[in-house]
Amino acid sequence: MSLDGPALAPAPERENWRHFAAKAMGNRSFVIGGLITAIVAAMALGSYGWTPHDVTDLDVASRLKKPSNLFWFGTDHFGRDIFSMIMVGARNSIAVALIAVGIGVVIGVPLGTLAAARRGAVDEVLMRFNDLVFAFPALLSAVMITAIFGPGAVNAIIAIGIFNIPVFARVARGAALAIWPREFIMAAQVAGKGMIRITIEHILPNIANILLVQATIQFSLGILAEAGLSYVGLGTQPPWPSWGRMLFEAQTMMSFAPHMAIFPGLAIVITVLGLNLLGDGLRDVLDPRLRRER
Amino acid sequence: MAYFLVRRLGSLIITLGVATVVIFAVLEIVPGDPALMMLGVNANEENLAALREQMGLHLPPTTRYWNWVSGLIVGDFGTSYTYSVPVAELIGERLWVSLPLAVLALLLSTVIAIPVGAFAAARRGRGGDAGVMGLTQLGIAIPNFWFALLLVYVFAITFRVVPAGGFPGWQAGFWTALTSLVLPAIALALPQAAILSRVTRSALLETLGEDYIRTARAKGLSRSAVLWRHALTNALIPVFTILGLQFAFLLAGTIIIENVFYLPGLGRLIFQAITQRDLIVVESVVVLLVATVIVINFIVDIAYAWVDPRLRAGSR
Amino acid sequence: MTRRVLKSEPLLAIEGLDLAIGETPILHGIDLSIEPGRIMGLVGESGSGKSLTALAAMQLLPAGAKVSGAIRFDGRQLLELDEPAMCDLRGDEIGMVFQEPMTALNPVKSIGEQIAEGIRLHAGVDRATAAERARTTLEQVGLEAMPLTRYPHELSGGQRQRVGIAIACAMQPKLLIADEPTTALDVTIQAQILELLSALVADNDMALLLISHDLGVVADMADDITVLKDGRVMEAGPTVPVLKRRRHPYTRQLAEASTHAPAKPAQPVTSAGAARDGLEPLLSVRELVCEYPGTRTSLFSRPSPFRAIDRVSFDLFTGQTMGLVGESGCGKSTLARTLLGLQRPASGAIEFEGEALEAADPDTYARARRHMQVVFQDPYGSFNPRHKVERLVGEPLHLVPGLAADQKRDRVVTALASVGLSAGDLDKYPHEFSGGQRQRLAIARALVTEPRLIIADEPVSALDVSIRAQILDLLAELRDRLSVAYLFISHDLTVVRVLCDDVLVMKDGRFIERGSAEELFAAPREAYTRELIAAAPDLAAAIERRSAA
Repeated sequence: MSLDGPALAPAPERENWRHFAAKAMGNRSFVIGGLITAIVAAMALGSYGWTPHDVTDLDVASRLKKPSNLFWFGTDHFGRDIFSMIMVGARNSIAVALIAVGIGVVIGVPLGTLAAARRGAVDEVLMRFNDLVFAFPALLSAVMITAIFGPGAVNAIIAIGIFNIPVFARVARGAALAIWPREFIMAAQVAGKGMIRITIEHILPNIANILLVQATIQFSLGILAEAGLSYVGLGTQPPWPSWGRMLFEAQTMMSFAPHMAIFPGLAIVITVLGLNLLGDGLRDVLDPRLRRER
Repeated sequence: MAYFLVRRLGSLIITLGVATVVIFAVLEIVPGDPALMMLGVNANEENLAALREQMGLHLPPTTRYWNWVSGLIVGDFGTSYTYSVPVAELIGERLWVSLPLAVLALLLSTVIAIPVGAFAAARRGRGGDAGVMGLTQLGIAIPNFWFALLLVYVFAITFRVVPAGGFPGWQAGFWTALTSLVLPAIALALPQAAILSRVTRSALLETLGEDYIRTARAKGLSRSAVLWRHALTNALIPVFTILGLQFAFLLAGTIIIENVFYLPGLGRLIFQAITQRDLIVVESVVVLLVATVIVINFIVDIAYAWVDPRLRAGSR
Repeated sequence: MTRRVLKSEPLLAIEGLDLAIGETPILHGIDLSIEPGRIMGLVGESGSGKSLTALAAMQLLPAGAKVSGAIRFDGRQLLELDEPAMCDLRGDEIGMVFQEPMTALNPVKSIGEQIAEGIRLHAGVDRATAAERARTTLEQVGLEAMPLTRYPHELSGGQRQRVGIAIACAMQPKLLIADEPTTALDVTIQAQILELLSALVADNDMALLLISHDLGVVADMADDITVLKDGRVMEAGPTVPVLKRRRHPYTRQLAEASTHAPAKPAQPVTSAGAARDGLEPLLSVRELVCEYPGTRTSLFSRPSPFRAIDRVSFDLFTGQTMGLVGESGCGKSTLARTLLGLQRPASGAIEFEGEALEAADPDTYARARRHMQVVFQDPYGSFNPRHKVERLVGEPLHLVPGLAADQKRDRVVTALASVGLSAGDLDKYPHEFSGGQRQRLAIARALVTEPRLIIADEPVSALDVSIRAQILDLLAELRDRLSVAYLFISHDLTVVRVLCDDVLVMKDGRFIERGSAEELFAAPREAYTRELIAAAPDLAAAIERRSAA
């Protein structure tokens, strides 16, 4: 009993695949979140091959229809089918958020692990850089980029991506800093391994779980941010459907066609909820010790 | 403490400096000829020359930057091209809508989130906790502008208890003006409160697992006394961090929400400026918002030291 | 089992206590009773359930714990009391001191507030009176000059533990429970804290339940002893007879393991002998200085660097076991890190196998490290949890160029065999091994490059006594078989004494005394060394002293 303090807490255990799958299937958040995410992704992919109606089809005769068997979620003021638009809009949301997460991971993780490995001045500069980028919420970056280059989905990707860089840098740095003082790192140093090799062999595999969980969180935040940017006209441009844009168009019709606002909004809520549940589930499944942290 | 303050103040000034350089570079150097950009390709030579003169584009970039920053320090943001009035004046008016809205939303979300988080932490694993956590999970997923639309539909369109939008101005009376900020503030605050209460809960649960909590319990303190007197003060540190970050999101959120409620704040100003290509106004509003975020984070850092005696001693 | 007839009604009587956490049973029918004013020592190894027994008495068990049986305290059935009644009892009639002084105090409250809090709660007095009584309590625990306004981070480990004791004793409880109160402390501080506890118990007529893994500590302090293993009471009774007769096999095993000495080599390699024979040293350190940058706290003055190692010199010869003892912060780990090339010295010379290392480039160091390996303290933290044994133990082979995969595997298998593990373990992950086995793996990893020097940084400090004895035997056997030299770093003098040929005593970055283990322990010259030796818990000496009394 003497020394079973935190220092001797069992190290995270390597799970083999079957064990992992069994644990994952037993986790309610993971299953529900994964299911929702899969459905949204399937809708986005499916929209390339089939949608109930053509989203470019403007049919004034059937404008502002309430939800029905023909138009499941109703139609908008141009007579377009809202369900079909949500399907096509999903592509856009997923693509923007996914690429933005990619930018954050590809740039942020090397920066964060480098700062943790080198400490000192490199670390200090990185942290100040982080403070700086944190001061530019995606919306402000998007405002600046749009003011110069005009609106577009690429702006949204860049603006959200830039904001993701310090997020991943900070998470990677924090997690790596917790690994560096561990004795197995010292053992690797004594085995003559250099900073980069240790980072690749020992640090990255041990922080991968944390990064994966963070990636699902940033993915869901990216979907929210994309919707916000499109809503104010800084993101995806018409005629391309996007969830945020649909809400903007719904705003003036609120009093007589609330369904135009309700369904795209629900699409955002359910997608984000699914991703958050998936993230929570992943965290529980991958590393039970993290469970109490959020 | 003095050393800590001076060091933080130093890095605050450097961060502010670098931020202005970035903004200046993006908006005045990247476009090449900002005047052409603002007037468009069909502009006539005379107008262009006049605008270049007004913006001082014949000067070298370093001089222009310096003139701009020294102007900012004394509150001179330049003159708006489209409105032909000092930008400071434009911003001044709008600020009195956006700032109260952001502060109101921050207060509201803090006042809701901390007790809710503490409530959930105290009932960890029981029904109350699960219910609160489910609600916050939903709250995080709701985009604030959509929530705003729903609030408008329910309270302004269906029940007509509050105005659907617009802002009468503070001269119309404090309460009248405040009423038109209530819905926007709620729309902003609730999703933020969801995040903040989850952070509060997890920070509390973390500190509740610390050794000193057991010491306090062994002293005879009850569970709730330990939660309020020992855990909460320690849990405030991560909560402060999130509060600081949230202010940045709230400012961004304010800009979006103003569009839902047709509030004449900074958000409306910046979008009008974008459509009118008024770079001077865009630049000023961006610099103001970025500086606010940086200063807020500085204050959060100082607040840490106030909560944590280890930082007060300057050992960091 | 011998049970003495009780002289008086016990203050605390635990009867048939069963405890399970979730579905896992932890305690099985624990019986334990403490009479007023007496000291009960509760000993056992990791996982024996010592701490949980104490927490059950405090009703502070972790969530999901199910208890049955009876706990009677001063005429009340504790398991039947409701939470408010337990709150009244805790801190008033039963006080508790915990193991980790570094984390047991709230970092954001002053020590005065933390002591006064319990007084205000139980005595119902106002703030000023409570502060006054907190002052008196601090004086009782030997912190006369300590202002109440200090925060925990401004105190040393020993001082914090005194504050912890002050919190527990502020209301002069009838029973004090101390859960490994000195395990995280240096030996000299441990001796002071134990002395303080004895004095407090005697002066205030308190009973003390002293929980410890260290038989020496319990033998020294306790009137009665209860030996626990896997949640069951093995033996209980008055301390001296129990430890002297060792009737129960487990008591005997525990006692023998704590005093276990591996066989010394027939001809130990000592510095004196090597100098006489004119041997070339394997490792030679001259005037070594290591510094850390100071923390800046003022605007106007540059921080002066902290000198962790101050001009130390020593030689180490092939086959020699050199002990390096000292208390925490004396610089012993810094010395290890510097020798291993993990940090650069500020000045001085390090020569290993005739090659200068103090300013060596990475390649030279890589060559040197083939013959200089390391074993760390923590058997859990010293392996990457995501790698298998073959890769873990084979990692230092990175230093040996030109080995084919099967050659590497052979080397790993040989190293595993040397430490009593087999080729069948190659495909396992570290979590599949027990603590003792993991320390064997760590030793195998150090052996895989066939080194001539192994730096062992507290290699047995995290292990239970019985496993510690096995690892010490293994280290001694490897030394004799492979004539490898050890720099054996430890805070535990008992271990150094039984294993090492020569000893260096370190304090504040300097060697204050050195000599052969035999002479140094028999006749220490420096006051500090004498203090260290006197403070180290010694089971045999304690039994002898107690039975004479």
